[in-house]
Amino acid sequence: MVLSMIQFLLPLIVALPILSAILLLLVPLNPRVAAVLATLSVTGSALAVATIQLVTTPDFAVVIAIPATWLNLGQPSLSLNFGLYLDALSLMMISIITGVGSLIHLYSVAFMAKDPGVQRYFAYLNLFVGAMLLLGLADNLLLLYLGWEGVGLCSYLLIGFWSKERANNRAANKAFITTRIGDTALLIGLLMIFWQFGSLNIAQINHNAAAVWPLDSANNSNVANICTLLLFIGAAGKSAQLPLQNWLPDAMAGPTPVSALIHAATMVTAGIYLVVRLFALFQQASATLQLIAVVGTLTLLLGASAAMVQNDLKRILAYSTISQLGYMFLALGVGATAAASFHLMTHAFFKALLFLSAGALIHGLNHQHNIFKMGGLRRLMPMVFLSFVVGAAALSSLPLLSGFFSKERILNEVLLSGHPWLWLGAIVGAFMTAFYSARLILVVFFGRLKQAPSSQLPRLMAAVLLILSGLTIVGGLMPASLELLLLTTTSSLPPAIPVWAHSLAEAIAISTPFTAIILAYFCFIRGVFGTQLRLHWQQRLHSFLTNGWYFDLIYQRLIIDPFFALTKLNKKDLFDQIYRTIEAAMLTCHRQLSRSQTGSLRLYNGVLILFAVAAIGWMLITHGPSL
Amino acid sequence: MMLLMLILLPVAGAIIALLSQRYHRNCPRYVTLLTLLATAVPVVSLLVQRGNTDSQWLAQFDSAWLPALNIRLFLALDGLSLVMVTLTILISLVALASAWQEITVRLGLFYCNLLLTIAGIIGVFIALDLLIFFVFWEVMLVPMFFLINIWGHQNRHYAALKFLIFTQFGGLLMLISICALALLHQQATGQLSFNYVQLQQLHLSPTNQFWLGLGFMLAFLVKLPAVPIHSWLPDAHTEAPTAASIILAAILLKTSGYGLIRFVLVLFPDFSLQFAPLINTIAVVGIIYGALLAFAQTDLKRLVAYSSISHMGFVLLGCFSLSQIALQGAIVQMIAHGLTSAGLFAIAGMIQRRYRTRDLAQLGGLSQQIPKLSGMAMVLVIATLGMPGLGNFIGEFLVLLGSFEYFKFASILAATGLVFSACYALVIIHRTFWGPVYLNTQASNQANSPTRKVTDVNRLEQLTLLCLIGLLLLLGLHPQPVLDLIQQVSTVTLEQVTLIQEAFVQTALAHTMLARVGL
Repeated sequence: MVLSMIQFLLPLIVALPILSAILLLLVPLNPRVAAVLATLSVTGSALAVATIQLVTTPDFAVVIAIPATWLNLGQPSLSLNFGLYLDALSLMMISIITGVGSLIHLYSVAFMAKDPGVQRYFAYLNLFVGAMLLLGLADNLLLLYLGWEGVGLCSYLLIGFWSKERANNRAANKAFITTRIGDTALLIGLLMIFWQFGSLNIAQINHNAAAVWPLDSANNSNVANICTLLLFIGAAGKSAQLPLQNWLPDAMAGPTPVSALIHAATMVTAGIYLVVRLFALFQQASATLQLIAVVGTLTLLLGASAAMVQNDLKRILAYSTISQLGYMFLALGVGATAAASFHLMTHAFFKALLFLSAGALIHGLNHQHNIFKMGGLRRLMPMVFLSFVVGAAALSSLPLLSGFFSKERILNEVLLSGHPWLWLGAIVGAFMTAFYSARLILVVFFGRLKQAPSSQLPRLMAAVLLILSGLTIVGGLMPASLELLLLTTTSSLPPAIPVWAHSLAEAIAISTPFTAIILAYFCFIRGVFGTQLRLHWQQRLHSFLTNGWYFDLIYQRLIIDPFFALTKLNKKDLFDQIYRTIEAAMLTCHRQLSRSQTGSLRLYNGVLILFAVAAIGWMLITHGPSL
Repeated sequence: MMLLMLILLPVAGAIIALLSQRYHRNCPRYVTLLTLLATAVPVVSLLVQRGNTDSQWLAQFDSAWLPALNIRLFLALDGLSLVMVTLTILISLVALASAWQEITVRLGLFYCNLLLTIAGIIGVFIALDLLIFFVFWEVMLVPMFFLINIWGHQNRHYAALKFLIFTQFGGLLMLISICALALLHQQATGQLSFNYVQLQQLHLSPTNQFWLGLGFMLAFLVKLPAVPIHSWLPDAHTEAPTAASIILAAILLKTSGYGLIRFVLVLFPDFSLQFAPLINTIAVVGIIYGALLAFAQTDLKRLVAYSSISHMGFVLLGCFSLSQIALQGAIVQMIAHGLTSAGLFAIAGMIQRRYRTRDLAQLGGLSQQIPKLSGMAMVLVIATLGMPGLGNFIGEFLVLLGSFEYFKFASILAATGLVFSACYALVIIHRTFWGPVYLNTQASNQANSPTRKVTDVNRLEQLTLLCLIGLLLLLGLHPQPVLDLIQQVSTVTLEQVTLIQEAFVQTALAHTMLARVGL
């Protein structure tokens, strides 16, 4: 009974936003009707998910619904369905997508009210939610890939939503091409998986992983490492990890609710979801896991260090997202899938909250993005201030907020897995995280008032901020069903370190954010260190961090410029030039020969005589003796 | 008889269209429309009643033609031909829709040539006597030459001549191979034969296979086009009138893919097996080289033309990957590319009619001026870059999946082509539909009123584009009917190749076994 109900609800959850998107794309509607329709469709999905949450017990296993087949080739057998696969992990994922998604739709109704393209906006946003749900629920990798590319497309369309501005177009292109590089790696990974497993069904692949790629065989582990590496590159592209991270800060060109939904809460976590989904594969590839941990650590350091020096409010949050995603990959790298998923969930809440608060701030201040042109806003915008503080506190993992539980868990697991250096990196990252969060709050809301808000916060937006604040505060409860599911995949390692060191490490982890906040207080309120960067190396370091470790510049010089130069050089097509040369040569011959056709008898006669003389002479020379 | 109708109807229509011009200026259009609809009737009836027979051929027509040389009018249709003929009719309707408004001079002659080209193409898809096949192969070129030469753009004479010389060159080599095949059949059995089914029974030595296969191969590679011999295509596509560009890109190129599957793989299995690595290299080079060139172009039609080279590379790779999945992928890719390229050329034509330019540097911000057209165009562009859910992805994915089995390196390199295809596809969107409105369009200059409003799609254009998009979605989300149609063909086609390959693997295995034992 419950089973059949879930099987009925699952396709409905995906179909509602997609149908609404199709309707919005095809039929011109009144802007208000369009907004309501879009919001209702996602809310409907959210209600369906909530119903599933209610009727399932934590120990439920799996529900599969196959509403339609996709393609079916007889020989060799390749059979793909539009199969939807629900377990605790995908349930968590779709809860986040529909929950945060419907809140952001609601927020957008107020945020985008005056925009002329509101119907197009909601169509893309609905399409995004549909594709993301498909990604989360797919039972085979190709369907997952469909969702994967679909969300990428919607991200592209929404980053470039205000398409008049060339800067937005460029940001959209950058995002699409960069993630496409990762996507292509993922596609090659799928080809390899099909070659190795003869199937693209996720459950089947996970089930057979240990048998097909036994850990002790060197040959197999090579294949396993390459294959999982390709999957990870795909994940890194989508989740903005090194070296494909640089599209995310630019992606902030889109409307702020889009940044909140796509570039903070859902799409960018698809990479983490993919790795957790296929963790059985990754477990057989120890080298890839090591790499993931290192990449995660480097990325979290890059993101956090760059966030410390940005002036643009949204760019701070973007780098912060990169950094938090780095934490999740670090957790995955050491095998802590549960901790990573948990952080994925809490991050979705508090980062969406931060972005929406930032949106409210920007909305109220006439599109001001520079934090140093804001200040002293805590009394004038109390609601925004409050939600910002809650979000930032969760981000810096202050005790008892949701971010605290998930991040402490990651730090703990990293330590227990015996990677002290990575743990140290994560602690340094945590220090920087707290520092830039505190900097943000202190600069924007304290100090002297620089620009007064021009409009009141719409009530709808305030309500959404309130709900998300609540979720951020109480969201620190790991879903029990998820715990049960992922328990089987994480190996419980014996603590590699003595008890006293462990307690010390925990004390350090908890006290780090407070130290950073105190430091930020002295920096930005008391001005202990001054406001200018006097020394040369300081300026160099500042510029290095501001530019996100110069990755953009390196790519521009090493890849983009040569690519443009090469294609421009060959614009006229080398091969075509060859044919044109042949043609030109023929034409020249033709012209030269036609020139001899002068019609002058005297010339013809002369040539004839010359030829006769030459011919006779030649005969005499060669056949002389015999004549 | 039904098959004969498929060819005779367009030919008759062509003559009537030419003559009807005397009565009313618009007559040829309606004659063409009626002819195409009438031709569609037998195709639809075949689509509906398919699967009733167990044999490979869903319909046959056989009658003597030149008994002295044993040339017969042998027409037959299997799943592959049926799919291609259906595509031909569909695309012809799209071409007609775009010509409806664009062609204003010498209507009778134009539609006469258009219908003759279509008759030739349908003939190519259903003729199974090799000499008849060759005749149709040539028949479709000549009217196309006139279409480009008379109704094309500025540089049309050059482009038309280039097109004719390149394709004639390939056709000539094929003719030599066809004659040699018939003579070899005479040597073996004492009877001259051009019959495809009979020639399949002929056992050719590897040397013969090499030379004869090469003749066929070159003819098809020129038409595909494969990379060093592709250079007729950008010129022809760019200079041709929109309707001719559509026919060229969407179906004329597909005759080569059809030929590879129908003739090269079946008649010359040894050749195919031996040269598969080389041909796949050419295919991969084409995929990447075409995409890079497309990226650099500033003329919208030229950009789409180069992208065709890239897409047809996938077809070539799929044909010679020796895998059924890849072969089916190649066929799906042909259909999908037919739909997208037809759509994109139609859009280029619509833009040109509105702005009097195809230069990307002079376009921009179209999504603000003509949102509906831009929206539909963007869907087609996104289909081109291989977005899952639309037809091209299924084709490309199946090709990659199938080729990965034996040609891993080629498959991986071809997959990187997806990144480049995204590059040029985004260039189209970036420079045409997004960005600020480019004010100095010639449209406003020529109309002498700077405020002349550019109109969005009319009903005919909207219908055309929506149909194409709908079909692409259908192919992307429910490709099963097409896959069912071509399932048997792909099995039959690869039968010989697989047999030889298995024998080869067996001997190789035996050799390694012997080597291990120490012999």
